[in-house]
Parts: sequence; C-alpha cells; structure tokens
Amino acid sequence: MIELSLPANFSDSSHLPFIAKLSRIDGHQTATLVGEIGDELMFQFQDLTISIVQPVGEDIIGDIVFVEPAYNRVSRWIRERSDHNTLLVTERCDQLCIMCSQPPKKSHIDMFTFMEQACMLAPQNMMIGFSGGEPLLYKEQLFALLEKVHTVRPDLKFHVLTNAQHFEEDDVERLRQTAFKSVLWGVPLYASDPSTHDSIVGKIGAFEQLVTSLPIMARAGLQIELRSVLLKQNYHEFEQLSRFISSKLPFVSVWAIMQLERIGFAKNRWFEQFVDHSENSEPLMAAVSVAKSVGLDISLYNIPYCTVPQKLRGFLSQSISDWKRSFPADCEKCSVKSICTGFFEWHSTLEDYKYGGVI
Amino acid sequence: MKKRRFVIQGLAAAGLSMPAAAAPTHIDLENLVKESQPQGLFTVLAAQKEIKTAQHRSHKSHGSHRSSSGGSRRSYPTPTPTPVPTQRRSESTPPSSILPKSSLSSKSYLTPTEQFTLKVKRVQAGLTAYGYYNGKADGIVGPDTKAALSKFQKDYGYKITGTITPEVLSAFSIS
Repeated sequence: MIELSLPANFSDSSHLPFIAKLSRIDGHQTATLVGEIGDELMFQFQDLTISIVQPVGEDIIGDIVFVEPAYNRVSRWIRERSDHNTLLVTERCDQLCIMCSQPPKKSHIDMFTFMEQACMLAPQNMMIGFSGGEPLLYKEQLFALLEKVHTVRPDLKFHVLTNAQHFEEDDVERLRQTAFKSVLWGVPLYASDPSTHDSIVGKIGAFEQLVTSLPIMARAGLQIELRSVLLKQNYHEFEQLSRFISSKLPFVSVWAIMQLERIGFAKNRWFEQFVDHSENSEPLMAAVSVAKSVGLDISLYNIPYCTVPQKLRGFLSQSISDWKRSFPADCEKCSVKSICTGFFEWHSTLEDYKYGGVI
Repeated sequence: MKKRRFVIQGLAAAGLSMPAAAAPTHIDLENLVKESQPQGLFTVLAAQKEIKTAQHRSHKSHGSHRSSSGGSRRSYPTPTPTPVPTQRRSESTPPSSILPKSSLSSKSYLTPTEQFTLKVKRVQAGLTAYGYYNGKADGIVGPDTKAALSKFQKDYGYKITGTITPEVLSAFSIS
C-alpha cells in the first residue's frame, strides 16, 4: 500500500499549513530538495526546513503535498506518477449509504484555497478527482474552483463523485461553459426501483431527486458516469436497472458496475451485503448484455479477472486505486496479474469468490 | 604561523576537519583545496573528537521522527489531544521534576531538522574554507549553497546533486 500521509519534522512547527511541490530544482511554490541522507530527505521551503522519511520503494519527488507543520505531517495530495489522485472536498454528506466506504462526519473544513493551489501545480494533462462526503454541498465553491483552474490549466481533467441531487435548472447556463467540458461526473444509481435505491442510500426521495437532476445535467451537456455497486440488496434487479438506464438515460457516457469495498460501513455488514458474482453471474451477464445492445459503454470495477466468465472479461477495468491495490500471495503465479484490478489492501483474498483462481 | 593555526583550530572546533581526499599536513588557506597529502595527527584527532560528540547527539534522537502518527488526510484535521491539566496541590512535586523534558527544553535532544541545520552550518563552513562559498553559515541551503555543493561535488568526483549527501558529509567528517 502506498502511504499518502507521511510523518515529517519541521524547523518551525508554528508555520501555517501550505501547498508545495517537492522538487529537485527551485521553482514556483516548490519545497526544494536540499539533503538526501539515506531514506531521509530534507527540503527547504523559504525559511522552513522539512525532514521527511521517504517510504521504501517510493519516489516522493514531484508530488504536490499539503504540509501541516503543526501536525508533523505531509500529505501527498497529487502524486506525479499516479492516475488515482483524489481531493477530499468535504466529509459531510446528505445521504447515508449502507455500504459507505467513507462514513460521513458532521464537521467540514474548507480546503478550497489549498485544493486550487494544488491543481494549479499539477502535472500536465492529469485527471484529478474530487470526492467526499458530498462535494456539491459546496456547489458554489466547487464550480468556482473548476472554472478558475480551467482558465489557467485547460489541460487538466476532473472527475467529481456526487449524488447529483444538487443540480438545478438555474445551473444549466453556467454548466454549459467550456470549463465544465473537462469534468466527468460520477453519479451513483443502485436500482431502478425507487424504494430499493432509497433504502441503499439511506434517504427517502433520493431516487426521485436523482431522476430529476440527471436530465438537468444532460441539458447542460455534462459528461455522466453512472456508478452501481453490486449488493445483495440490488443484484437480483440488475437487469431491470440496465433496461432503465438503456432506455431512460441515453445521455449517460459510461456505466461503471463495481464490486463492494470491504471498508467503512461494509466492513461490519459484509455478509449482509456482499454478493458473489462468480457463483451467480446471470444478473451481471444480463445487465451487460442489455446495455451492450444499445451501445452503452460499460466498465466493471473492483472485479478480479478470474472471477468473471470469459464474456465479461473485456469489460474489466484496473480500477482499484494504486495506493490501495494488493494481491494475495497465490496471484504471484498468475499470468494475467498485470491486467487484473487486484484486491483492496484491507481485504486481499479470493476466499469470497466460489469460482476464481490462478490463470 | 601561529595565527593560521588558530584559524584551523577554530574550524576544527566548529566541527570541521579536512576532506579525507585532500587533508593537508601543514596549513595554507590559499591552497587548502589543491593540497592532497596524508592526513595529519591534528586533523585525525579533531575528526575523532567530532565523531564522538556527533554520535552522542544523534543517538538520543534516533528514529524519533518516525514515531509520530501519520494520521490521515481523510481525518484532517486531527488535532493532537491537549492534555487536561489535573488539579494539583501547589506544594506537590512539580511536573518538571518527574516528567521527561520536552524536546524543546532538552539540550541533548535535537530534532531531525535541528540536526540537519547543524550539519548544514558545518558544511557551509567547510565550503567557505575551501573557497566554494562566501555566504553566511546560516544552516539554510539556499541557491548559493546549492551551487557551491554542486561545484564541490564536481571537483571531488562525487555525484553532483547540489544537495547534502553522505559523500559531502564524510568529506568534511561530519556524522
């Protein structure tokens, strides 16, 4: 697992937090490498000296970091060599999904200024994610950030994970501007039956709100990625969901179907929620088949290669973020390891799947 | 001659000895860099003394910076819990007499950045003595120090990084 938060030591612990790029050469907003003694790297940011122990086998030079001297901490917000950089907009949420991987908190710390600075320093053409909580609880700030960054860095692309319930008619004109052409909006939809969806996201009326918002997004010309997690609660309705998306939501760019992540709320409710698609692949096969027939793009996320029938393997995506991807020891011998998404670090095992194993 | 010796004693006291590759027996500030002769007894003794004190210093703080909690970006901010002071009778033993001293007040404890700043000062003094640097020995590696390091590394056949490396430290017998 890649460490995103690194312990650090500072010459002045009362220094205010800031964003910097770890660099070998002096430049705009850089913390410049000035000492490399074994695995201990020393950086100089203006008058502040920073000591960081570099994690084994990793290169932190080039990373854009959030530096907090008061907490003896450096957080790797944008790693130069990663495709999985996500910034946390807020931990507040107005839903309470039964399998939430990151249970919400009531408190909110406004980090928009820092997030904006980090984006401005990002490597060319990078895609940066925004997540939460529900990022659109801070819609005005997020829109403003996307617009501002776009004017300076039109090369960057963004992914925003949102429940989409905060888009309104009044937003359409603004969202039609070019800044928002660089954004892919990831929107969870768990069932076409309102009560199933609402019970999964823990909010009555969520489905209705969502199907009102989605056409607004479509009219604004936004790119939409629907996201559906496989659960015991919705798996039997997957073909129906596929028919709903295929017929009612033709403006969707891509449908991501994903296996459950054993963390957060799902950790203690695993056996009530996890559904083994290898044991019964019918609902998944049917859903893919229907969507395929109308030309909808499909990606299967968080699903190990060996656990799905041959017909579905072409839809698999290496979706598990690099920093939390892992493989059990048996997989070392597998011939398709390099194209497999792998497992989550915190639950790296094939034991959940009846069918699957080294190929 | 006496005066020159004094200069060098001052350098040695500041934690400096000659780079092993170029340790002169007699002292000539003009030719410090060019000289390449066997190491003198004075230099060896000075270096040994330095190693002892430096080891003593670094020993106490060994690994201290690794123990602090990394926390998580997701949990930001996780303020360090402030200990709630308990009611104490004024005549009871003062906390300072029984509790470990904080890193700030203890003279024998140096944080990683404090240790590094000391090393930088010594390197800067060394680079000055060898004619590579004429700025202040302020313990901060700025553009001038980086340039001096690069040139020094180039002349001595070390890896050119413009940073403080183990090679640079051992060249000045800094540990």
